[in-house]
Amino acid sequence: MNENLRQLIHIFIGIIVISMVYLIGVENTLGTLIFLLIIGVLFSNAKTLGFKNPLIDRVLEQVERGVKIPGKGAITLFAGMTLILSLTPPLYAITLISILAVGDGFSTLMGKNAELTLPWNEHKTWRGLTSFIAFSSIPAFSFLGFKGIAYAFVLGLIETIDLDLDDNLLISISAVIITYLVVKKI
Amino acid sequence: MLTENLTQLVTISSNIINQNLPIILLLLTIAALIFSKRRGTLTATLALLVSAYLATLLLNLNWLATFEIALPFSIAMIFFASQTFYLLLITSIIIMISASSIQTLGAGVSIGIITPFVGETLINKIRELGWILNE
Repeated sequence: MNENLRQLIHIFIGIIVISMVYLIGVENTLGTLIFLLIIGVLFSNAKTLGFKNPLIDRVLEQVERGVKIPGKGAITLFAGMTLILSLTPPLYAITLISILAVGDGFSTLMGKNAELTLPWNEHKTWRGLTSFIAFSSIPAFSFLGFKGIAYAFVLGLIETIDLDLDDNLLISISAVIITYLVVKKI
Repeated sequence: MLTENLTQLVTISSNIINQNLPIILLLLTIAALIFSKRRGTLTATLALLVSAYLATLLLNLNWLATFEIALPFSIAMIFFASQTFYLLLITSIIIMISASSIQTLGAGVSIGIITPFVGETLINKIRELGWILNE
């Protein structure tokens, strides 16, 4: 498994989705995400049942972490982005997707070899946390100003909570709940 | 005349299905709970109820619409890696057609997929905390 490639794809997918929102609108992007999500889940189920496809197997070999559910990372990423795009206003949605893609991607890329771990979670590092906040603050600020930086900071901290829940889901669910608290009525 | 009658028949049938869909889905859930031996089913279903309710609050959605989409998806995910999965997924795709908006659809599908993951995490955490005994 190539972790760098995995994280670069993670960031790239986020950039593509944000571009799609600008180019074809929220509804068409949402439709595309739902379609891809269902196809992804179907492929994952088929693969678990023993279906073999040389191309998919090779891709999974390169980017999969060896989890129980094939393509789990991609499924949770797409499910998270679909949840955000469905339940938050468009400007908030692209900000949150940029934090999910850039923040989570860079925190793993930068933090994986660091030694200084967080006192509340030994699997996460200080370098990963600061990378999450620093890198995701850039697009978040450009979309939502200082509120975007606040989102990056809070979601960066939430991502370090030791919950055994996939980061993509933890960030997405928290982002939707926080947005509800901030915007009150969506 | 025949076309009009047929259209009327289709409308009446779809209304009956739509009106009874929650009950059908509830029965499906109970059946899944009884027959499934997989861990986390109950927690996942409870988590689904809560998350569907939250989605309703968040988007001012027709909660039944979100719930109708989320529930079969969630059950399909619980039956992950089985042939039953396809049947449940087909059911959910049929229900998707009745979605009132793309936002409802997106919320329903994503909540349905996310819920079993959250349910599993919850059950693991509860076990870790020692609130219930390990199997």
